Amino acid sequence: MKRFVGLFAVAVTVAVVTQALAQTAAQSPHGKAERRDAIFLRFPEMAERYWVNPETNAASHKVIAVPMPRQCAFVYADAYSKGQMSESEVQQIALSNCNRKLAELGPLGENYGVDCRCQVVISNEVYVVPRNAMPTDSHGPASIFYRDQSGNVARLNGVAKYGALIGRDRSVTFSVDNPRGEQVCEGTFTNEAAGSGRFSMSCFNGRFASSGSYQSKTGAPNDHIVARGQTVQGLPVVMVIGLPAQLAVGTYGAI
Amino acid sequence: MRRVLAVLIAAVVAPVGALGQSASEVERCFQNPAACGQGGGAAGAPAVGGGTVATRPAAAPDYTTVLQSPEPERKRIQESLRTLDKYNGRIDGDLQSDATVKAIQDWQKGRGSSPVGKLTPQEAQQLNAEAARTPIRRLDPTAQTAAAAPTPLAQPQSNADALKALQARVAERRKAAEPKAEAATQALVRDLKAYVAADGKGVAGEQFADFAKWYAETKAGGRAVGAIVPAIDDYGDAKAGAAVATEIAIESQKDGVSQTRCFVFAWIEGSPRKNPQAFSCDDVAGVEKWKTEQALKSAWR
Repeated sequence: MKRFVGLFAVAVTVAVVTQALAQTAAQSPHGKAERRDAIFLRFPEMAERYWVNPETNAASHKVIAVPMPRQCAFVYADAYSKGQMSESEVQQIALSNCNRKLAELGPLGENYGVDCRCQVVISNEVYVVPRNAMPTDSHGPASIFYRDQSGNVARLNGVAKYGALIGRDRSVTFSVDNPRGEQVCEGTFTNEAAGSGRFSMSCFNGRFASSGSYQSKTGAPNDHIVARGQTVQGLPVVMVIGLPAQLAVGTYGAI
Repeated sequence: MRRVLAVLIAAVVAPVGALGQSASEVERCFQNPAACGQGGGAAGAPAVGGGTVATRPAAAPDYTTVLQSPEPERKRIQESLRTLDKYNGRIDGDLQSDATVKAIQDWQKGRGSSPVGKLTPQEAQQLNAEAARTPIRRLDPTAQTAAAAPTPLAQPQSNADALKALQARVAERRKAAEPKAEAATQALVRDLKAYVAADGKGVAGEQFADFAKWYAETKAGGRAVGAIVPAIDDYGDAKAGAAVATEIAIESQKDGVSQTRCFVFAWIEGSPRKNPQAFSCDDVAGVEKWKTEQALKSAWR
């Protein structure tokens, strides 16, 4: 009889705890993550692992970390529990992986006027930061290189914002802010093939304009866009979005 | 009429051309778009802030100010270079030492500037700002899986803070695990010695077939087993109980010549030990595979 009572007590306890946990998730002040949320549209490979791939989708704990504030969210780290890992352990892994990615890409100080720091944003399908703090557009560090008629090279570093996924929409607009957060350039990417197309850009109210072609590059060191074009005078311009300034100049700075 | 049209066209086109398209002017406008319209074609005006001109006609850069700045400021520059992994020398404020000049050159090369080895006040400011924002290189990946304490999510942590917290938690966890890991390892060493003392009989051989095989070969070769030296490799909770992985060096001798064989013994604590397996110390992949299969959550590293 005592054993029966004991088993019953255990069953009741488990049911209460399970319900309490479920309520915690549902009643999260920041809401539940959805497949169509901007962060998943921004990082489709992560969305695939998080929502589709049965090996990772079925994990008991799923965590996403990105650098914040929102304009810093150009890299991400997603982590999934293995075995009996706790949620906090998975959070640690996501946070550490995000920090490692940032560190490997190099300093961001030349692009950003804010301090970009990795933060867990989604844990077990619930936002752990306010939804309105999350990015709704794609952002990334941007560098523009321009060689003038005398052979002098200008190197401009800031942050780019673009409105949608390049490669799915026919045409997307973008803007470039300087590190002080002032918008200095705006332009358009027009998709012509998978991951490539044409771009046009106008800076300082049309005082500096260029156009040409762009290409999206995926993989190491980080997914990025490189646009190569000319000014109206035929002088070369290269714009890189997604790589911090030092990496961008090392890779594409020799125009 | 043509003249009027030409004037009109010129008026429309003028804003685009007015910049003069010089690199320095473009930089100036980028840094301060509000002032861009002022001064029109002020080509050659110095760039404000982050922009760097790679090949620019010399405009007598000011290197004296930084070289003659107070010692704390010069030391700070060296510290910033050190933070950016450019400098590994003494923080003595000597910006003209070979190591410091080289470090400044490296930093300037990295950002596409001319590597003169001296800094303008603007560059010094940018260098310090860059260092202040630079996170540490990387977190110890082996420590990531060991930490278990919940992470406060309210405040974002810096890399350095996160690393310190991780290391503290790992150290604390390992300290707590040490007595159990040590006891389990000593029990195995006792069993191994008992197996040798009983000339190949006992639980150690029954549980660890590879060890038994090695012992049989050693004995057949006329070698005598000597010291058995353990070193705990890993310890933590696994799906079937507490998992232990211990590296054990076993000495054998013949004719005064000593050899050492290194095994990693891995098992789940219990009586008898569960899922026991002995690996060669070289078989790192095998050991890690065993840990994965046991879902080992390390409390050791």
